[in-house]
Amino acid sequence: MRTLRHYRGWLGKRASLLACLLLFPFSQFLILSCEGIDCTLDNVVTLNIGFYSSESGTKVSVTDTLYITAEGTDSVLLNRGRNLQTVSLPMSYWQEADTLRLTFRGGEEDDAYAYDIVLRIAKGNQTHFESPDCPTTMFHEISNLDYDDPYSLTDSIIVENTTVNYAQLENIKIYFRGSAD
Amino acid sequence: MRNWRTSRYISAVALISLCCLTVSASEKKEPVPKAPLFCGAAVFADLSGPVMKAVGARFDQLEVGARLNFRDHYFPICELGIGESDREGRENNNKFHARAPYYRVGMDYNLNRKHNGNRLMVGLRYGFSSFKYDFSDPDFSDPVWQGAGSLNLKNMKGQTGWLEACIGCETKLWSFIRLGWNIRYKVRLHQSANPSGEPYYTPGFGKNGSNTFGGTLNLIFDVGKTTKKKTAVEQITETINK
Repeated sequence: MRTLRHYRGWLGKRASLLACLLLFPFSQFLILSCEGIDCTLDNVVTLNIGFYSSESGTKVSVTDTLYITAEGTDSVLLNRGRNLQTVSLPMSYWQEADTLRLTFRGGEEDDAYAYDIVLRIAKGNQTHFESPDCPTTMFHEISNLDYDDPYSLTDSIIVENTTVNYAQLENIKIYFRGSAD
Repeated sequence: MRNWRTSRYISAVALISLCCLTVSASEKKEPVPKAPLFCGAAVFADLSGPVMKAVGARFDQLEVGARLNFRDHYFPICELGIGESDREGRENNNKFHARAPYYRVGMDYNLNRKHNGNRLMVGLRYGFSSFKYDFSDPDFSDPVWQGAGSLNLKNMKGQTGWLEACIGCETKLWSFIRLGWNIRYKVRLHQSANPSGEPYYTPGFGKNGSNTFGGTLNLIFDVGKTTKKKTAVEQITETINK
């Protein structure tokens, strides 16, 4: 018991100093150990276009084969898409407007017919970063939509959401005449 | 998993530290005389900032402060510092840089009723920093349209205000020199940033977010005290011992 009291007294006299010294490595550990990469998981920025029936107002599948190309690039944005209700497309980083050509092909080996719709989307571009560890991206704000529909496939094409970012909202709605088959 | 380990470590060390204080505080049970209204002032410097800078932490700060002592319980406090972060992405060539001053004002309260030189402090602070930050991405290019580009954003303005809840302790090392630490839970109250993105780091706050933890290890100097002239608190301590 005497020994216990002795050590208790010794500890009591130095307790605060011990408490202070204990935190020296602790405070460093606290600050340095909490490092992690916190990037947004859904970090793909795409323009989302939905296909609708003008009669029912509901979403429909496009049964023709769909090809989408864009002016200013040789890349095909969508190749041989079938039975699609929505398409997600990249937008240019630096251009003030993107021109997209949607080609609907049908018949035997998709050669019997081809109809085009051309969309001209005016937009503003805004760089976006989160952290040095995360990839830098570009957000867009749609300012105007113009289109050519020489075959009168559509009833109307409207901008539903002007902001193109991580939210993955549907930005443009294309209302086809009839059932879009 | 990392958070769970960190929490366990924090809890263990905090518990040991507070137990040490409890042992110290429970030694004597005597009536405690009231301390005078003004018990002095002190200046202090944070030791953890230079250590962080020396070990190459992702951000660091140099911080000093001053405080008054009323009745050995109430400590109005002001802290000033310069925070810096110069960081490169681990898997890319992105770079972020910010270096700016910050300040905090607030009050500490000493929970130890005895005037024995040891203090268990809780406190609140309001912190504020107005700063500029840079972000660059030399490899930023359009993957489809192949537009040339590298991103180099300079001098973006940001402002952040936050609230800190602190708990810590301090003790006398020698004469007018004291050592103290505290841990802080910080909650962001308001922020303005460039539309391109929020700052990765806010001076004085730490890694940007809605809340974060921090801590300081302070070397404290009682001001205006010499070995010949004792502070009011020490006079009371001597009275108790007699």
